[in-house]
Amino acid sequence: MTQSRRRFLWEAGGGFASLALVDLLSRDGFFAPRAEAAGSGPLSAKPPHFPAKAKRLVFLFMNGAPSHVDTFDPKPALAKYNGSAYKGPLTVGSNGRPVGYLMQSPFEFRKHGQSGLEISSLFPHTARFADDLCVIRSLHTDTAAHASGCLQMNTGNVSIGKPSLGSWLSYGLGTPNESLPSFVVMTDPRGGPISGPSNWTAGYMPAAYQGTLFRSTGAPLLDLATPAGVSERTQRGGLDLLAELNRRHLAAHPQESELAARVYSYELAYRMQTSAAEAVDLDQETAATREMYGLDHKLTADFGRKCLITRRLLEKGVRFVQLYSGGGHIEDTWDGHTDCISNHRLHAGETDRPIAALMADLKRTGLWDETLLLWGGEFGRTPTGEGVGKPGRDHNWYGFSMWLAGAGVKGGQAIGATDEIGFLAVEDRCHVSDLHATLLHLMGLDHTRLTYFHQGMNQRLTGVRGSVVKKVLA
Amino acid sequence: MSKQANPEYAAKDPENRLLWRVPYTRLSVEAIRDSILAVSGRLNPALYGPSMLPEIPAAALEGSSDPDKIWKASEEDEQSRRTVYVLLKRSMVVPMLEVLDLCDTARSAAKRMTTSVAPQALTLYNGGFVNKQARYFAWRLVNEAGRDPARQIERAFRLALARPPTDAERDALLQFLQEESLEQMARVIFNLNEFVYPD
Repeated sequence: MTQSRRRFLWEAGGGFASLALVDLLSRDGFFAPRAEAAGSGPLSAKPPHFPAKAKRLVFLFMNGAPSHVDTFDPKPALAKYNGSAYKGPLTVGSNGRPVGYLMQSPFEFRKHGQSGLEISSLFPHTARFADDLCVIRSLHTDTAAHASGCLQMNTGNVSIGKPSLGSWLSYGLGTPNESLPSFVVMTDPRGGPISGPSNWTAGYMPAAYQGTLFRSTGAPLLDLATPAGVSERTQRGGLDLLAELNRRHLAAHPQESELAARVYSYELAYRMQTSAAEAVDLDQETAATREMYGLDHKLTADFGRKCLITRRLLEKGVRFVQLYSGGGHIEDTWDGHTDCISNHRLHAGETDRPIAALMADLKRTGLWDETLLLWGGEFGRTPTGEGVGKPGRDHNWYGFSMWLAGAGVKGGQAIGATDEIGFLAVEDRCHVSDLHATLLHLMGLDHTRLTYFHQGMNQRLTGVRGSVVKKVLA
Repeated sequence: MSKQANPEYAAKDPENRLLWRVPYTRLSVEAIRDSILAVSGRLNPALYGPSMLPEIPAAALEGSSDPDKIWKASEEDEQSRRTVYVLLKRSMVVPMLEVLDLCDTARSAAKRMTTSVAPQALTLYNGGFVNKQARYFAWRLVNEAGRDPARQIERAFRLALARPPTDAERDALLQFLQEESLEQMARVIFNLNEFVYPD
């Protein structure tokens, strides 16, 4: 009896269960932070499959698909062929869009750092960290459409309803701080990615693993703030009364784990009102930090704020943070159909300095050694213009670039290659599933062993594909 | 069978693997929302007609690709219809429904999952819908039970839980009402475990 009163099975649904050791019937200290309460839920910290440096992941998602030949994949041959028609076998033109001539990049590529990694003039700040970046120039994906491309990059599958990368990490590793969500998403104020929450869903896993959407201003979580006109004393007094009444109810149903879990959830929510609010309170940051992130400049203020909040969340133990640059309509994202040049100037300008600031700050605070960074979008852009004489570029799913940096990553290198003009990944081809396998590996998880039983199968983020890109590893 | 505890069975099979009792099941989000409206007195029982769009927090719209156009809330009387009339839009699921375990609307689901996570507590305790309905519930209690707190409590329990309060519960609520408003008591009642896990 004592055991059944003191030990509650913590049912998170979907077949996942772990034992909760929350002694809800004890009279003292019920509202104090409880050591035994942490480590009892579905998000309790779990050991990785094997030791790994990376404990956290930041995914800088450049929504809309940045052009690789204008950013991290220099193609001198495009100058030679500039203005001539593409004669290769690949289909150009998504959704019947007009096809133009091959177009050289207007952005100058220069070698940076001791490694001499080539980066375009779009990223003067990021370029200072060239020796930390591992660019994969040979990515390819299964779709040329944004919605399915974002879903594939986030969930490993082109259709809606599969758990996202962050959900897999939360499921596999849990979180060391149960006063905050393990998986945080921040979207662009211009809008989110197409399919919205399907990009950070837990899919068929328990909802506890889904990403939590933070706002970049105001309350970072929905309904996190005490309602207007309700005093702190009233807020707490109501919760105390609720707990007392629930405790009486629970005493008559001592073996009901869901009731116990629900009682606990109100206390966690109350802690989150404070802990999440602390993470986004940037007033304590110095003027130098604000300047470094570009918080006081209109162009960089939004993404800078998100990068700074990211550092704060990482400090507090959040496992996975995903930031979106670009959202809403075509040119409000990196989707430079009409004028890729000014589009990329804008979006790179908004993000370059904040991202460099985040990297510098992670190094300053020591978080760098445990943090993995990933930069990129859902695919790349064509080496051709979109329409004759027009500066736009169309979608390219045959080959594109992303970069990794931080814990466990061998920086100062570019892996793989596209063809002469940057259309097709030809060397060390890296499918999105290979990228996912590599990210999980860097976090200490074997993508073939991280499985979730659903619909009669042990499901994987990588499906039946994926192999770790060994060249990435330090 | 019953849902009541049997200490002997509970000791032997605390997880109820052998189904010695009826398992406790949380109401679906539709039933939770409808119950709140019914208890507050604002439920609009109108049948048929087009879907309605309940008010959702502006913050929720920031994640959508078209925040200005994607969601225009219906008039409040329309919003107060049963939850089955809520418009289900794949790209913008009403946060209260989503947080409280609505199934994935893009595909078939064999069953609803029930989770017990903190964002649900934030929605039901701090969210605009529940706090507004708590105000209506308080007005209803004054209308139907007058100014006597003990009668208000009695009426509140009858409406929300279909039973009278125990002496201990009445005492706890009376004490609460010495410092706090009826609206705040109503807010707490909507959040009770018993309200969403009815006997």
